[in-house]
Amino acid sequence: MMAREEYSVVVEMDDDTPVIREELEFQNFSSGSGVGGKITQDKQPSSNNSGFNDTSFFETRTPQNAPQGGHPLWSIEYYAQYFDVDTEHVLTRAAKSLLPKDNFADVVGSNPDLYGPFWISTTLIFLLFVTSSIAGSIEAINDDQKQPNYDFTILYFGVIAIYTYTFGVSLFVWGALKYFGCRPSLLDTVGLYGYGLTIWVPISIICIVPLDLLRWVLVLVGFAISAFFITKNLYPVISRAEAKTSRLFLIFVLAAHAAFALLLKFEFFSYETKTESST
Amino acid sequence: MNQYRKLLDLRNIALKLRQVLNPKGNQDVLRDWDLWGPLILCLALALLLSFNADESTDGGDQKVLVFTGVFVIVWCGAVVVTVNAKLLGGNISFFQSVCILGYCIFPLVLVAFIALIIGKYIYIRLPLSVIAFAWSSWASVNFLSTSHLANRRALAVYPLFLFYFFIGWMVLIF
Repeated sequence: MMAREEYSVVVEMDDDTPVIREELEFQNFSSGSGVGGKITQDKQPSSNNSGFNDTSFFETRTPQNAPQGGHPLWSIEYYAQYFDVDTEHVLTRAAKSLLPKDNFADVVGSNPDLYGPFWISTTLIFLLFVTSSIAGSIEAINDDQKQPNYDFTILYFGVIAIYTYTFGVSLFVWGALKYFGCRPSLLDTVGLYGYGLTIWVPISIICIVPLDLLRWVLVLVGFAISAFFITKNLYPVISRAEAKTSRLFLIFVLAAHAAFALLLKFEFFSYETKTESST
Repeated sequence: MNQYRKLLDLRNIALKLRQVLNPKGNQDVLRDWDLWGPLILCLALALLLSFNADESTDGGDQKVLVFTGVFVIVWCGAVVVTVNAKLLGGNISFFQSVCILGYCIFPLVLVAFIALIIGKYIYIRLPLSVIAFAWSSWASVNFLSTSHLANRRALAVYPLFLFYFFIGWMVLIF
């Protein structure tokens, strides 16, 4: 007869019996062991979670509300969980935003990141300044001026505009959706707006060419792609509100995005007219 | 021993600057971080760049804007690049990283100084700026060991390049 030890399965999660399993957590988050971080996310007791294994895209995830495994809100380790991505992840997500065929929720999975939104927006700010400067100097050479004027205020304007749109508008959209009971996820919304900026990076480079018609076409294309990306992925959340509110939401999101595109066009991509008018 | 160390150890700063110019040499001198060197370099850079900033666009305002902008970009940039690396899981000391990033703008400061002397000749400034950008980036990547970031090394290094690229760009145009 074989003497065999029976191991009984200890981990059994039920919605009715929320248990804090502190003793099973991995302690070291900061060394990039993302697996540990993900396990504890699911273990936090909460009334918001509709099901333990539910990784549906826009459900509010508790890690936003509670400290992760003892790491306080002001420590680096807490925010490291939002940077738990590899190079290929970021590149894939950015690429998917350029060709918005797939559902971005499937691409992100249960691991939204803040790296993409932050660095894509920062890159765009710098690029807008650089390309406007180049466009300005090309225009100056064409006009036979030897000294092109580099307007540093473009940089400041870019910082305010891009960061406000990426993080401010997305925060506002999230808040409004939450108010209407659509249960959006903050990180996913910010991720949509952040990765949606990707298309503007190549557009701003091509907009150095001083052809106004080309610039308008490009801005239109950029608006179309990024608006489609954001709206398509936001639609499941928006449609959880009642019909009339949903329509208003859609209109608002599209209008805000159109305003953003026009802002880019007039402030950064129209260097021909800028030096004529004094700011 | 440390009790006699001067607050502003100029010799130490000079050693570090020489180390930046010769990244392949002995790296120990940069382990002992200080923020005076980066501060001096940042001030020098801000002064040099704002000196050349155009007055014609907004009646002299550009100088102040450029000075402030350079200052903010250098310090915030160094902090952000460092925090980014830490968030990705990198194993670096915060102040040491900021110190190294600050010191590594030294080649760009040199080019800004040269540019001040030779004027706005783009055909000289462009290759100089490119070389300085490459030098600064390469020096700081060498010093910052990001060995814990196997698949994310590019994610940690990219902001670094962005940082020096932008400073190089400003050196080029101002």
